[in-house]
Amino acid sequence: MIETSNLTKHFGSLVALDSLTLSIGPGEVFGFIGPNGAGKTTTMRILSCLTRPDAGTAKVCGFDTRTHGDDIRKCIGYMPDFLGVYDDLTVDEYLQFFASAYGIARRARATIIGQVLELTDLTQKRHSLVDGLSRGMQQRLGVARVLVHDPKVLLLDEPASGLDPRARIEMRSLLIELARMGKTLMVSSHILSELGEMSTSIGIIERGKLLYAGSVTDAFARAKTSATQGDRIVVKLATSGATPSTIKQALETDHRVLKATANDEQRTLTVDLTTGEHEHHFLLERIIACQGRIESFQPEVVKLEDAFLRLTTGALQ
Amino acid sequence: MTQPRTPTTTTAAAAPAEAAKPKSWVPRRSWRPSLSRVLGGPVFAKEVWVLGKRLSTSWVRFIYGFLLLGMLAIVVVNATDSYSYSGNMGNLQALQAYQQIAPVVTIAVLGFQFGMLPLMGCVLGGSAVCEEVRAGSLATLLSTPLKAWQIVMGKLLGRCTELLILSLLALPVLLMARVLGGVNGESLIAPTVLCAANALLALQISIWTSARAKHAAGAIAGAIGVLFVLWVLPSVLVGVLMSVPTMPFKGLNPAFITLLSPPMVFLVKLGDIASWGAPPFQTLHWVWSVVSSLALTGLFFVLSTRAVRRAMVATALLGPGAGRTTKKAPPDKRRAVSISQDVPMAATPALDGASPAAPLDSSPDSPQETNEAARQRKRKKSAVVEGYSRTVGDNPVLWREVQQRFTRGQWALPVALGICCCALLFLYWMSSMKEGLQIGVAMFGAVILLLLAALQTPGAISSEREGRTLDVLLTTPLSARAILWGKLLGSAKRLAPLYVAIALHLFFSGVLPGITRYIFLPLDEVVRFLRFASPAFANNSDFIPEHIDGYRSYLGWDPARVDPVAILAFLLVLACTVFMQFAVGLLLSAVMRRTTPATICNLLLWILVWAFLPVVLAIVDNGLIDLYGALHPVVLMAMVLDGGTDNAALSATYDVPDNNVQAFTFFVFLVLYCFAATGVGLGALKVASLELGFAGGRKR
Repeated sequence: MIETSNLTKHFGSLVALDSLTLSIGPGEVFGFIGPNGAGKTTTMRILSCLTRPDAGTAKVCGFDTRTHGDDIRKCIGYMPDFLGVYDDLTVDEYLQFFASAYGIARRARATIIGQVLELTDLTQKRHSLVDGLSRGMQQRLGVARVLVHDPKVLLLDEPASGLDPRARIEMRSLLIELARMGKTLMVSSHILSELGEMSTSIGIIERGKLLYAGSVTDAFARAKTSATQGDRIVVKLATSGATPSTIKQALETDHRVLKATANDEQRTLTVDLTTGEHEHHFLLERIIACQGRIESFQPEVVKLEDAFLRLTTGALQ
Repeated sequence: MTQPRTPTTTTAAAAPAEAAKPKSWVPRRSWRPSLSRVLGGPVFAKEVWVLGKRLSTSWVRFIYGFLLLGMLAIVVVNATDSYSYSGNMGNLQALQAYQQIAPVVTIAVLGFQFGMLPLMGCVLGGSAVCEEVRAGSLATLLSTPLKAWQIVMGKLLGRCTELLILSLLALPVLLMARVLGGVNGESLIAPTVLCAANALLALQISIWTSARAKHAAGAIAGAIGVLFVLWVLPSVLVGVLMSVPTMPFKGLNPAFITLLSPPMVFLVKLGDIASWGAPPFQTLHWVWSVVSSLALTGLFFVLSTRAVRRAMVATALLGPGAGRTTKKAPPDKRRAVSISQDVPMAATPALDGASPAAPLDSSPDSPQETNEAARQRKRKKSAVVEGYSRTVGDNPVLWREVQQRFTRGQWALPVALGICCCALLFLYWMSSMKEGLQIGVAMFGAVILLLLAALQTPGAISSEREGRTLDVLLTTPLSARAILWGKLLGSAKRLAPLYVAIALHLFFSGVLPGITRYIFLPLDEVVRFLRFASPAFANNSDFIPEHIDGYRSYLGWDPARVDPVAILAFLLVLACTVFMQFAVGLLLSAVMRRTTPATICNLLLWILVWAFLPVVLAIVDNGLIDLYGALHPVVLMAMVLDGGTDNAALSATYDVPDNNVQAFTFFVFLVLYCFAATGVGLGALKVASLELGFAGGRKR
């Protein structure tokens, strides 16, 4: 659905995009991650035909952004990071405005608007003024707007930015629902945990360069590989049993344990396992055999944040 | 008798607590009003920094200086020609030559300053408050101990520095005129002070309109309008009242009319320099004019303070873009205002944007109530009815533009039209519809329309860009041309009432009185029939002289008649010129990122083309101004009405500057002008379309 090849964009001396090549298939939810100024918005603007690239090609729905802008506009829905709204329109008029802009016939508009409002849970606000809506509702209205013409591809730039926790959860549910409907979503966000939950693939970009593009599981695997070489287990021990140092010595003799770190003061034991699939119960058995009294036993979950931090340097442009 | 203070346990216990309290890293000082704090406060400093750093400021200075120098050069070259200046003169002869040209140079420079500085005042102040309201930064100021009057003062003085810099550009020339040219000191000081006072007034009015307007363009237009009214209306009113025999103003000295209008006083003072004749009033009466201008500045300062305070509270309550209030704030809002004056408020918008944080009010119910009340008030002012949605047309941009009102509030336009109608009827009655009324009123309306047209479209695209709605619009299949034409037609719709008013005025005052004459023709036939049919009428030979002729002499006054063809030609020229101005405004709006510079550029462009260029040409060569006059829409419109008054437009002779031409030639020229203006407009729209298309990622 979306393909870019060696996409390059300069703003003066600043390289906003440096030979960006990526591919997003139909029905994918692509999470686009990167620090501020990395080039996410520029990429989205090029894909939505708002900016022309200096070099390289970008195709959306099979159309080249340079030559088939009109065709692309019909098949995409772009939601910018900051949604500007017309302050003198109601929600219904706002959606009618864009339905009309997309050439939807008048008689069909009411039904379509009713449906998208229902999907975005804004039916109650149909005749409210747009600028009287809360930020969360305005963001949902933005999503409703991009759905009016039933596009195949949705480009959502920071859809959850500035939203409170509840609105974020609602927005995430909405995006998951859209993914279920078979839309191809390209979502940029700073809230990596959310992207991790709903994305089928992610791209990590920094300084205009795409550092990683692929499935989420691969990204986790990379994060694991570069961080701990395998699973990490954190064990909290009760004060009455053996000390963590004692148990550590016993554990390090096992070939499945890469490294163990004991903290007697906090009574914790961190165990890094070697790569590969290991059953964790051998650890429990060993600790109990060493007279250790387990208070908690927790495998450390690798998050998207870890992958992001490992793959980016954090340098700002 | 005072009792000795005894140490208490409370004090002793409080000491360790005081010591434990973390010290603030900001030294606390009590705020005492001082001249330096008032004049050099943070708002003033910020204004000076920001204005100084903007590229547009440098451009304004450059263009102002360039125009001034250009005009000066033309005047000097022209004057030295007329005085036979020669480069081989001795020092004394050169000095004499300087003295000869000094008055002309002084008049040119002062005239330029008086024309430009108040205009610059209107332009500079236009963005003072409304831009902050749009950006939401005004609400942040509400959370500081700054008071509204300090903000207004800071903005006024900050922009005054810019006016001062512009006015200082002419100082060396004026000093030379005084020292070398021997121009009288008072003759220099009086116009300069008049100029400064009026520029200050214009700036203050502009800040006031800025606090009430949505966009800078509206604020600038409003400021120019208010300044124009203040300059003209008192003189016109007194003049009209003096002409009514029953009014007590009848015996008033006519010089009083002049005194009420600062531009007239200024012209009189220029007359002192040029020795045009004795002034119609005492020399020092210009001081009265200056004092009245300063008093008006003070009045508008107070009004601005109130408007800014309301805008601040409204912005804090409703978020950016909500700072436009017109009516008196209800009690809940006033309570918030009083808090803002005394206690710092946490009024910055909430992070989630759900509802901007309300002021820290102790009353438990106030924040939500205040928010809701303010929202309700805003809804009432809006053209949109809550709970009802209109049906959007098939060109959404055009639909939205057409829905927007020219004036805020639903009664503003009817009231304005009502006032205009009353004024027109009064003028019709006063003038008996003689020649001059039709042309005068129509030309006045046309000039106002052209001025408004210059301010209508420069913000059309740039305000969408500033409101971050342009990107969304450009991702739709709407073509750039559809967007531009929607904007243009919307602007045309907003100005249509004025255009229609001019047309109706010409019809009622120029065509209808002529038609009344022909009413009597069938009436005579009816009477003749009655006399034939009825002996009662036949025997009454005095019926016609007594009734019909008397009625005819009563109603059948001899008004000036304007040929409908001339009216149509007038309206055509006006429409084409307005179209051209709209299109050029749209082009600037598409090219420039911000509304204010686009508005300023468009306004200055048309002032340069329609007003400054003719003056320069008149100075350079009479032949050139005659030629240019034939290209000037205002001159063309005046000529066509003048030629078509009491004449058949298609057979009249037209008084083209320095020549008389036959109707055919004139109308051919008129049509060519209309084609040219339309062509320029279409060209500008084409370039704007390409520019907008390029902004939307399309090929240039």
